[in-house]
This record gives sequence, C-alpha cells and structure tokens, in this order.
Amino acid sequence: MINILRRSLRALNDARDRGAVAIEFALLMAFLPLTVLIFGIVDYGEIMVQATNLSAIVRGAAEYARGQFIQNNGALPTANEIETVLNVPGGVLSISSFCTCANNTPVACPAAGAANSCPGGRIHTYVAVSGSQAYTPLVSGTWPFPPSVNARTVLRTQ
Amino acid sequence: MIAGKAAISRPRVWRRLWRDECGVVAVAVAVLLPVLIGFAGLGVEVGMWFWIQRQNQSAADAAAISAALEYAEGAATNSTAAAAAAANYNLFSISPPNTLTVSLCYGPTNGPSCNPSSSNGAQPNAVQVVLTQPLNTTFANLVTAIWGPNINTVTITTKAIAAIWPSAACPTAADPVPADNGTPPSNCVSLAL
Repeated sequence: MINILRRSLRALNDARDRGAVAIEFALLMAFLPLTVLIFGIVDYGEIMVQATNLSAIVRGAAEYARGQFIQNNGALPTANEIETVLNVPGGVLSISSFCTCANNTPVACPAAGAANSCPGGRIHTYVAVSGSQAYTPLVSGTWPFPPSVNARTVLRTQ
Repeated sequence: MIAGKAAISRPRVWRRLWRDECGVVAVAVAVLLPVLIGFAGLGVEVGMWFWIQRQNQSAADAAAISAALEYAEGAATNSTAAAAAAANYNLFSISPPNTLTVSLCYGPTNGPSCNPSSSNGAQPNAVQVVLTQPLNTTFANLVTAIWGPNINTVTITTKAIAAIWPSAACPTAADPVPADNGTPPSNCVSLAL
C-alpha cells in the first residue's frame, strides 16, 4: 500500500509536499472502508429519519382509526381515507381490527351490538395499523440495512 | 565489527524513515480507524436507545388506554393484564428483565406523574403505566471505560397516563362533541401525556 502511494506520488511531480497529504487521503478514501463508513453513517441517519416519520404516521393513523371506529360503531375507515386525512403518500398504510376475550384468547369480532361468547361477556376490541415504506440505502442492497422500514401500532377501542 | 557497523547505520535508517513523509496518511488512518469506527458505533448505539424509547412510548400509551378501559369497565384487577396485552401488541416484550407497572391515581395533572393520593376521597380517575427496559451497552461501555466507571446498562423508561373522563364529557350519537373541557376523545378514555 505504501509503495503504491509512494510511486503514485513520485509520478505526479517533484514538488513533493504540496497537496501530497490531500492526495494520499483521497487515494485512501478510494481504497479503504472509510467510504463505506461515511456512507453507512449517512444511510443510518436517513433510515432513522424515515422510520421515525413512518412511526409518527402510523401512530396518528391508529389514533384517527380508533376514534372513527368507535364513532361509527365498529366500521373501520379505509387506509385510503386515513392517508387522505393525514395527507401522507398512498399505499403505505394497512388497517385491520381484531378481538380477544378479557383473558387474551383470540375470538371472532361479533357484529355491532351483537352478544359475544367471552366469559362474562367481556371482550377487547383492537384496531391495528401497519405501515411499510421501501427504502434504498446507498451502501448496499440488503445488508446491514433492511429494504423497507415498517411500523405497527395497535390501540384498544373497547 | 558487524555489530559496530550496524550501530552506525541504524540511526541513519531511522532518521531517514522519520523524515520520509510518504504514506504517513495511511499510517494515521490505520491508527485512527478503530477510533472512527468506535465513534460511529457509539452514534448508532445511542440512536437505537432513542428509537427504542420512541417505540416503548407508543406501547406505554396503548397499554394505558387498555388499562383505563379495563378500569372503566369495573375490572380494575385485570387492568395490569390488559396493559400487558396492549404493550405486547405494540412490540414491547413484558418478559424479564423488562417491567410493566400499572397504578391507579388521580389525574391528569400537569406534572410528570399523576397524584397517587386523593384530596377528597374520590375514586381514582386515571391509570398510569410505566415501562422499563434495561439494555446492555457495547460502544458506550468501551467509551465510558476510558475515564472511569463504565456504563454497561442503560434503562429505557417510558410512562403514560390515561384519564377517564366524566360521563358528561362522553360523546353520544345526539351530541358527538360535548362542549366540556376542550375536545374530548370519542369515548370516555383519553390520553394525557
């Protein structure tokens, strides 16, 4: 490595010291994993920003969906509606609801106003909102960064 | 005289090597690379703490809503289980060493936590959920070990309080937005952070 640098420096000119350090550093940047380190830091920052944004979107969507779900007697808003209300790009969110008994065993959600089969008639209803957004890192396709950022929030409505 | 010859020439070699500036950046970078990687790792690690705190805050909020609903239904004894289920659904593992604590209190107040004792003997009207998650550190451990007692564990603590609104503030089909204390949520359980 040092020989390569020495030869390349000698080949440049005889005004030896001027800019030599900068040139050596530039050559090292090309050869060593420093580039990977720096782009990795940029990628990491970028993915954190995206993940934070997505988690905020999903969080807001879940709270909106929960309110709508309660107000409309168990009718879920569509993902499209939430995306429009929150003014976020389409195709990111998906929404569902599920029910468990008070002892956390899964149970089919009864129709609005209908009785349920849980012990004591006590049922928990949840609204789940998931979000997924594709992400293309600068350093590599899959490692160490995932190809997409994901978030999920589950809120209980009843 | 081989020994004497070597004794004369060796300092010259060293002096020449010392004056030779070729490749000096390569050496400097080689020495500094572990430090650079260490600090990049530290940045990533601290970033992860804040990310986990963010996720846990969501889990705590969901757990507090669930526990408050359970309490409002008159099943106060089940509110810890309800909080744990909601926290679990939001990717917070409740198995040790993580902890989840549910307590009934009077609130919401503007302070950092709701009041555990009542001034007028009324029923508690709020549920507080506290989540803690100890994390083992790697880079922070190495860096702090340089100057003193190393930090090998960081505990992420998040807290949420859900208050139960008086039933007069509950929206009904006839009155979807009751004019009471601002804008109430669409049922009688609201989040106060």
